[in-house]
Amino acid sequence: MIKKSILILFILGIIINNSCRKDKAESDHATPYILKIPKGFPQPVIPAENPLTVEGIQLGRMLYYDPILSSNGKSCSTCHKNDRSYSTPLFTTKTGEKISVPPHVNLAWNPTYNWDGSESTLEHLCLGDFGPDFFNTNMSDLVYKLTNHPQYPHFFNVAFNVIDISQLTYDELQLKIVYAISQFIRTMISSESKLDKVMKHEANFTPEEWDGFQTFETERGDCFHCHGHPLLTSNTFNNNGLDTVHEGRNLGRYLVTKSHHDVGKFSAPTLRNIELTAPYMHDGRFKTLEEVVEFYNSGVHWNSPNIDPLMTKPAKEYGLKLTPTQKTNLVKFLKTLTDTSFINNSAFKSPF
Amino acid sequence: MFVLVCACIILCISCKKEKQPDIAPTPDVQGIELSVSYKVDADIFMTNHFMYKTQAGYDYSITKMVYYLSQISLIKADSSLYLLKDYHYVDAVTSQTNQLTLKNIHAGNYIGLKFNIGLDSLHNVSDTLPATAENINMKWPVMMGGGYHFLKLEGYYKDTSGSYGYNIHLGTNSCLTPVKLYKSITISTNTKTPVSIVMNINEWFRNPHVFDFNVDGSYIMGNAAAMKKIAENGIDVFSF
Ligand code: HEC
Ligand code: HEC
Repeated sequence: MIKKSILILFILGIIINNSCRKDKAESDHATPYILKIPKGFPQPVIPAENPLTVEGIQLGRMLYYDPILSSNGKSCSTCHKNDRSYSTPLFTTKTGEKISVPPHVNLAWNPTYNWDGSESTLEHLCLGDFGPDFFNTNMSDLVYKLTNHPQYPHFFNVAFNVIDISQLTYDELQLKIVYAISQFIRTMISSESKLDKVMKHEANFTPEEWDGFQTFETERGDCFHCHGHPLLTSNTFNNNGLDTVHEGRNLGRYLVTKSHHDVGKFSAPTLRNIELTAPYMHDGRFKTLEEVVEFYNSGVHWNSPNIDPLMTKPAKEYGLKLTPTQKTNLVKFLKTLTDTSFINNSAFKSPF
Repeated sequence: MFVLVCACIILCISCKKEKQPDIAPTPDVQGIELSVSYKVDADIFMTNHFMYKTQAGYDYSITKMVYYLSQISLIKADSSLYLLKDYHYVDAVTSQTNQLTLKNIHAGNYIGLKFNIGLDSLHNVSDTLPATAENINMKWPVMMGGGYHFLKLEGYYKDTSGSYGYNIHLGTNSCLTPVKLYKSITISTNTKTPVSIVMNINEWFRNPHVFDFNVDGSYIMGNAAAMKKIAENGIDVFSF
C-alpha cells in the first residue's frame, strides 16, 4: 500500500511539474537551453520565435567571431572585444561622428538597444550589421562560403533544421544568422562582480569602496536611481546634463521619437565592467572614470533642455561637492563592478 | 486514498500565484473594475508642461509619477475590511496600470474603499517583491532603510531665480499614507462594478502642510521631516 501511494505521489509530482511549466516552442532537432537567471534579476524577454537552444548558441558563438560574414575582414568581435567586456573604444561613422561601442553584458534584459534606443530586438539590430557601415556583406559570396565550409552546413542543420543553406533566400539566411548570434548574446550574463558578492555576503568592501558605495547609493551622489543593482541600469532614457546644445547624434532619443521632450536623452548604460569600457558616454568624451566622476561632481549643465530632475539638486547646481577622497573612493567602488569571471568565461570566448 | 486526496490538493494549489481573499467569493461575481485618474485642481493631468501651481506659489510641471497602492480593501458595514489585493504598481502615464480588475469578491453592500499609498510593512522589505523591472527601479537603498519607493513624483518648479528639478520620493514604513474613501458600493452578481478614484496631485503640496520646495526641500529621500509632511498631505489626495 505504502509503495503504491509513493508511486502515485511520484507520478502526480511529475504532472504538477509539467503543468506549471510555461509553453515553449520546441525545435525538431535542437536541444532547449534554459538560461540561468541570477538571483534578484528580472525575467529576460526572449522572443517566442527564437527560443534558446544549445546548438543555436554554439552556432551563434562561431558566427560572432568569424569574419566569414563580412566582405571586409570584420567580425562582431572586431568591435566587441572579449577583454573589454565585448566592446571597443570608439567607432567613427562615415560622417565623422564618434560613438562609444557599448559592451555586450546582460543584454537579454534590455528593452531597447543602442544609445538612442533605436532598436528594440537583438535580432533586428544584428540585421543592420550586414550593411555597408559594418560588414558590407556580399550575400552570394556568403552563401558560397557557408555552403562549402567544412562545419557550418552541419551546424545550421542541427540548430535550425536547415538541410541545404543554398536553398534559403538571402533574407531567410540572414534571419537564421541573426537568430543564432542573438541567442549567443543572450547567454552573456555577468552577475559575479565584487558588488554582487558583497550583496550576497560572500565578500567585503574595503573601507574606501564602502565609502564610494555610500556616495553611489545615497543622495550624496545619487547614482542608484539610474544605475541601480542588479542590472546597474534603470533601462530608461535620461539627459544627465552633458551639453546645453544638441545637434546630430547628440539629439539622442529625439532621433527616434521626434519628441522635443526627448532631446538630449540617452539610454542610461549599465555600469557593469565599466572599468573595461573606456572612453565614456555615447560619444566617448571622457577618457577615465575620474573624468566621469568630476563631470557629475562639477560639470553638469543644469540648464540643459530636458535635463533629468535628478541632476539639478540644489547642491548639484554647483556640483555634488564631493571631497577629493570621496571622488577617489567613488571610482574605487565603480571598479568593484568588474566581473573577471565573466571576462574569463571560456563559453563566451572565441571557439576558433 | 488519503494520499490521493493530499496529492490532488497539492496539484490544485501548486500553480497558484496570487493570494486568495479572506472569505469565499461568490463564484459568478464579476468583481470590481477599479480605475485611477488624475487632475491638478481644475486642470487636466499632463506630463512635461509648466502649467500647475503649488499652494506655496511655485509654478511646476510633472515629468513622472509612479507609486504603489497596497492592502486594497472594501470596507464592510461593520467597518471591518475585505482585502482585495496586497499591492499594485501604478505608473500614472501608462493606462494599463491605472486599470485594475479585482475578482473573487463576495457579492453584497460595502460602505467604502481603503488602501495605502506605498507598501505595507510586510511588503516593504528589500527584495521581497518579485524582481520585475518596475519593482527593481522602485528599490529604496538598504543603506537608506531598505524596502521600496512608495512614490516618485518628479518634475520642475520655478522660483524667481530660475527653474529647478524636484524629486518627491517617499519611502520607509513611517511614511505609509493610509487612504479611506466612503461611498456605498454594491457588488452584484453578473455585472462588473466600476469604481473610479481620482488623485488631485496638488493635494500632495497642501493640507495640512503647505509644502514649500525652497524651504522644505525638493530632494527629500534623506529628509525624514519633509517626507513626513508629504505623507500626511497624501491622506486626502484621492477622492471618488
Ligand atoms: C565596426 C564596428 C562594429 C561591428 C563590426 C559590430 N558592431 Fe555592434 N556596435 C557598434 C557600435 C558603434 C554600436 C553602438 C551603436 C549606437 O548606439 O548607435 C554597436 C552596438 C551594438 C549592440 C547594442 C548594445 C547595446 O547595449 O545597446 C549590439 C547588441 C551589437 N552592437 C551587436 C553586434 C553584433 C552581433 C555584431 C556582429 C554581427 C556587431 N555588433 C558588429 C559597432 C560594431
Ligand atoms: C538621471 C539618471 C542618471 C544619474 C542619476 C546618473 N547617471 Fe550616469 N549616466 C546616465 C546616462 C543617461 C548616461 C549616458 C549619457 C550619454 O552618453 O549621453 C550615463 C553615463 C554614465 C557613465 C558612462 C557609461 C559608459 O558606458 O560610457 C558612467 C561611468 C556613469 N554614468 C556613472 C554615474 C555615476 C557615478 C553617477 C552618480 C554620481 C551617475 N552616473 C548618475 C544617467 C544617469
